[in-house]
Amino acid sequence: VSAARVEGCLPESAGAVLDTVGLYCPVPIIKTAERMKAMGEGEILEVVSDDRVILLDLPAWCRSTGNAYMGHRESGRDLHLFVRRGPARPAGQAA
Amino acid sequence: LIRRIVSYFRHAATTPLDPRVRERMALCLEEDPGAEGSLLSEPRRGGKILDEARERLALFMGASPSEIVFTSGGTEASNLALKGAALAPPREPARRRILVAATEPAAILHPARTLGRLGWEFSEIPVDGRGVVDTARLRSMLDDRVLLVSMSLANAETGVLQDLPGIARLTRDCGALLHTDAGVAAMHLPLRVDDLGVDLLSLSAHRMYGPRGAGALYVRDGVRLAPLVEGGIEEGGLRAGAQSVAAIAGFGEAAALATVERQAWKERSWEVGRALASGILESIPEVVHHGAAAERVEAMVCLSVAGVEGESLLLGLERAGFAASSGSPCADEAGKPSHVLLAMGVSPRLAQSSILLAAGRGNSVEEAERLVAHLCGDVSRLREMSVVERA
Repeated sequence: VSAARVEGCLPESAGAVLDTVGLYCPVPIIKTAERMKAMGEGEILEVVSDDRVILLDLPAWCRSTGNAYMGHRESGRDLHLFVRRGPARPAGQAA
Repeated sequence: LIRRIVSYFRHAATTPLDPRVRERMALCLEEDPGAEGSLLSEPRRGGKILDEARERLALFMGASPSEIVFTSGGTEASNLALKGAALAPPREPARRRILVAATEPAAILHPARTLGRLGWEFSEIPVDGRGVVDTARLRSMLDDRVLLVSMSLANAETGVLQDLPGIARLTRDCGALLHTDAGVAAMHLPLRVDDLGVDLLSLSAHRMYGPRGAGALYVRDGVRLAPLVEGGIEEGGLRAGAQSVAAIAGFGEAAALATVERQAWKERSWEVGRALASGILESIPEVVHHGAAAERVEAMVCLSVAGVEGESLLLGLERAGFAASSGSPCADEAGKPSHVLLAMGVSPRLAQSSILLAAGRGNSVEEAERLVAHLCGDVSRLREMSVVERA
């Protein structure tokens, strides 16, 4: 994984930050899903993690749930990943 | 001949299970996959029960449900607080000091000592003769190397209360986390985490008329912890392993009851505690009531009777149908003086002979009067027989 992989432009800051450092996947993904439920369409969540598996898991989760994975940057051992909330899905589909 | 216990005065150690809690738990114990309501036939039901209990605990302490981590009890919760904070990936690596009140129970002191062995710096915060943390000393110990400060809201042996909001202002100013064990205080005092100013708070179900086997740690949003038990997604990854749904449901029920009834429990048990304290002090000479000069949980009366072994008093009380305790595992299990009382400056002899009478919501003033009358007679008899020198 490159030091600053970018898909589109990373935002300067996010509306909310979720610290999952010290926790292994899939817990950061579960926490991301919970936090995103309380966010509105277009809002951005910054997920901080030190489990590099999240670099695979979070984009995959975003694809399957209609949210937009914006990319990540690294700071020491910490990964800062950015997700933009997609449109709300009809009942019965994953949020 | 040991008679059946008819009057229970060990509420600081553990409380009787509330029948309403038992009823709630029974609904979660159906294991036949074919039966209506079985957790096995309705896999999502367990999750819903846990969600409901989490919401009830959150309401009880003014927290968000996502800030509640269920554990096997208060001891595990406190271990998670101390070791979890120390072992988490650090935001500030220079913070390597753990400060713990000298009167803390083993559930706090032992994990702190273990961290000391693993390279963290562990220091005890002294208390004054009343059992209250010496704020001036604490202030002098706080700096940017301190990771965490831990002190119980109410001491488990004396009931002495600490000024947590005041302490929280100090810890916040220096950037340290504040943890409290609120197990003893839970059935007496409001536990609003924002009012207390704590970052971490441990609770035990069995100290608030709930079941043994369930506890909780409040973890303020943003506080970084490492799990002690890993390998699953339960409890937000902070406590892996299938939860005990029935015990947690019972804990939630106990918290819901306490939210509504705590004030009545407090009034009843404190009235009984005051009757015990005044009755004993007025009728038995040379009694030391530990922590009496401090703000405390008045349902708890910790005392030493000069010239009489605490163990003899406890045996006499048990024979007469009263359940009391020394209040100190040191005294109970190892015959050692209570470290809590020693930290308060009590002499080793008096510290070794303490007894704790801890009233609960089910006790009455009449029971307290009967206990005082019994104790009065027993002390006279034992003092006549005693070869113990008066301290």
